[in-house]
Amino acid sequence: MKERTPRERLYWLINLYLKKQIEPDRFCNEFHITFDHDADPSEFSVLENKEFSELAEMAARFSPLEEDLKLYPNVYYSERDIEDKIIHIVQALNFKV
Amino acid sequence: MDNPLSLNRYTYVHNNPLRFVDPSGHWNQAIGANWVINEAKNKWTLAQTEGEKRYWQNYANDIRAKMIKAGYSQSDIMQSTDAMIPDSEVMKMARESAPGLTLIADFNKALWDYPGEAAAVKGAFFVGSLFNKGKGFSKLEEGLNFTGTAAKHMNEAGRFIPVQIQQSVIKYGKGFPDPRGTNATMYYDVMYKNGKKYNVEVLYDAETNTVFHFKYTDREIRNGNFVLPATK
Repeated sequence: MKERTPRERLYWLINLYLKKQIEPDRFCNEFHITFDHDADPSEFSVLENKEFSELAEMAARFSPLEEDLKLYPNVYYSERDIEDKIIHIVQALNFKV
Repeated sequence: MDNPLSLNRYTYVHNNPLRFVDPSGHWNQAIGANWVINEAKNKWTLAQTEGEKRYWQNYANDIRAKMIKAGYSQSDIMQSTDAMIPDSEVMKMARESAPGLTLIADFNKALWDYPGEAAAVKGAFFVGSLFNKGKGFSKLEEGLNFTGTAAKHMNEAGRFIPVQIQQSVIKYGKGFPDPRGTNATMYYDVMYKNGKKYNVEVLYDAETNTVFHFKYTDREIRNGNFVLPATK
């Protein structure tokens, strides 16, 4: 099977998330690493760069730990924050799940 | 620098046994301050972030400026273009010229034994695992504490950043308020991993000596008017 490009991988990860086939913690790590370490900005449209960049930034500061979310307000993004952003991206980029 | 070098210290180092080493370069090896510059060059070589390299470069330049002010000629002063003598060779020379001065710790103490600078040197020499989940280290130089979330990322290959590099980013990088408005400070610098250049950020709470968050990226990083350009 042909390997996914980083751009294809980001869309694939979002699809997996929406279908609840990936844990939020794993999604955030994979999304952040793919976008921040592997992807070439020239692969993306201006809008994709903006939206994915914002999601990657949130993903890098995501915490699955309730304790940390309570102890350190605003330091981390929650599962709800990530989900809201993904729903926004699906609409903004108008892509089909 | 917190504790500017006193020229009296140079006089003091003149009494160091190293003055008897036969000069091989054009800089004057009988001047103790040159050995401090040489040590700074060694630190520069070992530095893992651009901020840390900048620190040691400024450190050496500061000493050069003081030497000029004190009347030393340029040809006597070790310049950035002069080849450094590696620490290992310095130790060999020290052992040969002063058999009593055989331990690196002793040598470092002799050369750096004054407040402020001694602490800076110690901080640049961290080795081994300083990773600690929860509370434990009270000072940056001793090690770093990590929140549960940050500790988790220390165990993930694609996200791990060595403790020494994070300490270096906090110590020598540029600090700005957290864009999310917490009381912690976001520090930025540039680091190298497997020969590749990356921007790095560390969210650090000085009061508890705790790292809340860290990441590296080849993308541009922005915080207010501060911009770290993409490294690709």
